[in-house]
Amino acid sequence: MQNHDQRFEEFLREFEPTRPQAFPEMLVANPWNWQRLAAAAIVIIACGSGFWFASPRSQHLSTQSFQQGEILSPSQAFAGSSPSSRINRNYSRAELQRLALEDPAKFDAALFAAAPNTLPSFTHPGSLLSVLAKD
Amino acid sequence: MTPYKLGPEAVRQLYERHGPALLAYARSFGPDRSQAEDAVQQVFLKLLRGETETPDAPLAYLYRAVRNPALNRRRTMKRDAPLEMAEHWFSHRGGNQEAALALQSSLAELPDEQREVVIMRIWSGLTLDEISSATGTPLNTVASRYRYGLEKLRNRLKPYRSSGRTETGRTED
Repeated sequence: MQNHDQRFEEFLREFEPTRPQAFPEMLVANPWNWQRLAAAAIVIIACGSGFWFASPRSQHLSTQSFQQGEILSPSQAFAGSSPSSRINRNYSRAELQRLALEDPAKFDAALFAAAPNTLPSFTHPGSLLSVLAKD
Repeated sequence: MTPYKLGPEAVRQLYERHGPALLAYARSFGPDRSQAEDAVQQVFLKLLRGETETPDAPLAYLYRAVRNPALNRRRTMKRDAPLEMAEHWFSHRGGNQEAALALQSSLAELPDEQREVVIMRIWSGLTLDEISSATGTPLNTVASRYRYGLEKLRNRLKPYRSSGRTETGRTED
């Protein structure tokens, strides 16, 4: 009887059910990919903007920093110290404010050193020198 | 049984291995091929998207998930609506399409519980033990359902085996 059943089972296995449509993985893969891409884009934007705002360059651009090639102490400036002893630095407005509060002497030196390279504008319509020039 | 989520590869393998049998199972409930295809696809999509947690026996879940909406659809349709037997959901390796149509018709006439056991055993390759645990039915019940189902099929398919030779040329009992 068991052999009888096995033979009939073999007969039934000669019939094959039709295959369904292709595996629907693409329908699932896309949402996953979009989610991953969106997450990656958010991380990149967040990290990029963080680095941008933390970088000295952005501070320089955003706060209109004073640019000066050489910062000298008043004594150095008057003594005409050698270029090798000079400190090359760019001070932002915030740094200058902090310097003015914490170290007035250094602040004066920075302004003094910047003066020869940062000439006042005669042509700017709101500048004091242009007003004086008219007078 | 601890619920867990299947990975995409495991779901794909289930689809490759059992998709055809599940489709045949779904089609045995009603004539609409597209509805049967949708039912099978939806079940696998739910698994893939993790919308459902699968018990230890995912195949049992698949059969239940295909069966329940199919039964609901059948209730809403005319109960005596004939299956479209001209459309093949089985094919014969040797090309005996008349026998394939007879098999479809015979399967559709089996009671649901017998048809389920026969399809799981023959075309999903499960043992009676596995079917028992998959369906939560006692092994003796599963065995008797299988025996009755097989006997009915044997009687109805007798004309296609009476020559003692199938289309593949093998001698039968």
